[in-house]
Amino acid sequence: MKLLIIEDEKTLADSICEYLLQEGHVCEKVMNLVNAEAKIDLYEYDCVIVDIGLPDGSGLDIIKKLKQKDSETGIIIVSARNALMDKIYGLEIGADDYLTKPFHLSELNARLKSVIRRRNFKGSNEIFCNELIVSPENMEVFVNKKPVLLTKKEFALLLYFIANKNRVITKESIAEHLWGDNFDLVDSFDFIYTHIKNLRRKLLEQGCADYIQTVYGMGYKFNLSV
Amino acid sequence: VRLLAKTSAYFFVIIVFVLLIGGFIFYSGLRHILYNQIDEGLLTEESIIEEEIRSNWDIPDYTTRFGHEIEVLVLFHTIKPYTSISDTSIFNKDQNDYLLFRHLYVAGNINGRGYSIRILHPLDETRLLIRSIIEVLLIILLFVLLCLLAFNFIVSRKIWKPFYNTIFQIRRYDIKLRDKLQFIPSNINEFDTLNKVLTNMANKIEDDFINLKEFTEDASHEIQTPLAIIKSKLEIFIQSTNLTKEQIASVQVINHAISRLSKINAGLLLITKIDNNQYEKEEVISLNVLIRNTLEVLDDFIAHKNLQVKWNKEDLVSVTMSPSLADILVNNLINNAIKHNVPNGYIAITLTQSAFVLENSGIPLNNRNVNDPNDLFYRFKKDSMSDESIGLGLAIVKKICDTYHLFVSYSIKEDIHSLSINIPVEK
Repeated sequence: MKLLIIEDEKTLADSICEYLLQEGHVCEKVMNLVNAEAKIDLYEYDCVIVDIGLPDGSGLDIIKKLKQKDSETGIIIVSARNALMDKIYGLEIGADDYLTKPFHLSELNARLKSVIRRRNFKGSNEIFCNELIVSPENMEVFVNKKPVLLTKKEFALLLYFIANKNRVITKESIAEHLWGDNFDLVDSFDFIYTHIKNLRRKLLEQGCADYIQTVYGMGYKFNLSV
Repeated sequence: VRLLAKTSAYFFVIIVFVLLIGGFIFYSGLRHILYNQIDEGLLTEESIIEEEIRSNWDIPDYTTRFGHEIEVLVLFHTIKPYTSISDTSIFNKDQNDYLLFRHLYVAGNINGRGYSIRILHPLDETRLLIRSIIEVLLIILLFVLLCLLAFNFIVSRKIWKPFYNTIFQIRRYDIKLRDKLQFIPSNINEFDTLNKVLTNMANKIEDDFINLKEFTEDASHEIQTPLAIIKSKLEIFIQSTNLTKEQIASVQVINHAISRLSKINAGLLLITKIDNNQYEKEEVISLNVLIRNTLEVLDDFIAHKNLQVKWNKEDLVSVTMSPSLADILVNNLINNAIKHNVPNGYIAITLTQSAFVLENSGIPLNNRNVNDPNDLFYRFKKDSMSDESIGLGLAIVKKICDTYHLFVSYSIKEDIHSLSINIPVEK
């Protein structure tokens, strides 16, 4: 996948790139509106990650421009301003998702995958991971073609794991992913543990390999190479 | 007590006091003058009679002379000279009443013979005169008094008008509305000074307020990007496989701290946003649906503490609010009730057309930290039992309630915490 990251904070752009490169994406970075416009005039991207607050203007202009071009590019807004108006307006003019800084890279990655999936397959798609088949739209999971019954949270958790497969995912990012950021996390880590335990048990029962690993002191890893 | 009433009251008391004293002085003065006149007349009459006695010991019938009752006695021996003038009352058969008289009695000796003269001057007329004068005077004074009071009232009203306007303006003043104080100029120095001082003060407060608000907003926003960088770098860092135990422990602490910082910052940003009216427009929202959804999202947490949720679902209640704020409000409230609960406790939700009450079992508040449960609505005030909480949840609740003019209060009885929000009747 070819991605364009429009972000004026170089360090952050680097981090995003580094994380996404490991997913096998091709990443390009620009730091202002002018360069971004030049890029999208010249090339097609699968997805654009755009910061709203750019030094020479609003990232929303890029979205408008992309939409004028009638391009199929997915758009994820990344903004330090969690302004609802920005969010609503951004989504209205055609952005696919909106993330507020500071975000977890794993979260961005999961959103990105979801956007690309929706773009590419127009909503009917399945994710294949060895013996696992996940159908996000129908909320179905199969292990060796046998269905596994998961709760909403377990399913969300599995999708998140698969999106960030072979990576260490922190408990904080999982908690945020599952319960949103307006939860004043106190002892949510216990629940993560419970959900992961159940998810793992259900998958194992159907003969799935034990992909979910605990990474001591940090979080979890969906390790497909076990 | 209104200032006007107070001044009028003082005015009234003083005038009445002055009138009483003045009236008394006037009365005695008048009496004194009239009596002097009467006494002088009586003495003159007496001296005429005395002269007549002296010239010829012929005593005519003096029973009535000069319009007075006169009694003259002539003796053949000497008498001790004596003069007295006094008031006396004599019973009058005709009128069947005691009548007042001025009574002059003189005893003296002429050529070795004593005589006495007694003259009575009826005082009725004089008293009537005094009374009439006093009455007329009282009526005039009363009229003057009323006029003065009315005048004082009207003038004071006019004079104090700018002052009352100032008070009205200040009372109505809300710094968040950003409306300037507008005082009516008066030609009274004190009031103009007061207004000027107030205007300056308000301007200064407003400036500070805006500065502070902008600072909070800017600071919160500026913090987001560095936080995002730290978070992302850390996430990449933990992907490396060759970390030592010590490093992992440090990373864990850092991670935790960053999460907290993010939450605090997000909370502050939210408060600033509510302050700045940066949220979507209001809609009619069903609280029942909202509560049901929130309970569903937080189901894990409720189940984990094995809490019993009691909820009367009879009333269908709607509020007109911005959807996201309503969501945050209910979320924070139920969160709070879960977080500060005890294992196997309960949450009772009472939703009526007039109030939303959330009651939960919990730990009695630690008195050392929190004196008034309503203090919990302040930022970063929290009871010590939950060190992990960032202490903004209830501050946000309060802010949202304030925005929609809902009255929120918190009370604790032993180990039962209760938070209630009054829902105003929809117009």
